[in-house]
Amino acid sequence: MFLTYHAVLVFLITGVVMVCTPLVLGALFRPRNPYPEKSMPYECAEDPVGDAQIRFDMRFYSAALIFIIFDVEIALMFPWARVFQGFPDRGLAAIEGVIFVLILGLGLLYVWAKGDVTWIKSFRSRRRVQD
Amino acid sequence: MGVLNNSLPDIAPVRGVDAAINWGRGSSIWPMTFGIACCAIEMMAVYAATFDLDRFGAGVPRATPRQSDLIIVPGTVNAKMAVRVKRLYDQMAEPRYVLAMGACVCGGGPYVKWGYNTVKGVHKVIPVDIFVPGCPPRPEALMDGILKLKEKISREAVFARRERSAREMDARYG
Repeated sequence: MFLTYHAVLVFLITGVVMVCTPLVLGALFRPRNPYPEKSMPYECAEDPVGDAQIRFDMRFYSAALIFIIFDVEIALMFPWARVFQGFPDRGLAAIEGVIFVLILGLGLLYVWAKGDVTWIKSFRSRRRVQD
Repeated sequence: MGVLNNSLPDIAPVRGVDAAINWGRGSSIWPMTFGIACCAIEMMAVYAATFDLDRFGAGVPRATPRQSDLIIVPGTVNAKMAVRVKRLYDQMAEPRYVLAMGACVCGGGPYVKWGYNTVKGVHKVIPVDIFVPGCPPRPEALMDGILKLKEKISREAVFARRERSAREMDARYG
């Protein structure tokens, strides 16, 4: 019973050794000389201003999500266009491509209606969200 | 410094390991992306295809001092920049080397008499390993400086214990 899983044990030990050996060797070999100026964050030799953990505008998040729509579209339309010429059933491929674009376009229409495309949300769209 | 650095006896096998490590260090110098003035133009020419510093393993500048071994100081260092040069040198990981490129960096150059704001040589701020004079130096001169640095690295003791002269210690850590 125990010997059945000895491969797992060997795998585990090998994994631990493979990770720990470079760490120990590095600690023995590498020069270590920290001092305050060296440990400072690198800001192109300027004194760092403020904290790295700042609040970030949420609108960038929605803008990034809108970008995903176009990103996915390009990523899948390129291979689709590449094989379209020699595809056996071109009509089906064309219809599927159009459906794919329409689905993604529906997402764009959604964020447009919600008012996320404009940087400053219009009063009308905000009222609609509240309703 | 490290646990094993300069702590083993100075015997042949240790020296052999040192030579191997120094060969690796000297053959893969990572310079820092850093250009101040007109000498930087020559430096960029050396990095680029015609002169191709990558033949000596030093042709790919790194964007951060954390990843670089060598800071080539190319161009006039004025008083405002000297503070930054010192900070950049401080933020590099050991072993780190400095190559002073051009007349201004080697000792003031044309600004040595009337330059009210020029630091008369970057060695007043950071310890310099190699001086490459010229206004600006030819690309070949900078390549020669890199090869001189490679020679200098090959003479270093990594693990072997070596008595350092007080003057050498002052030059490097003073």
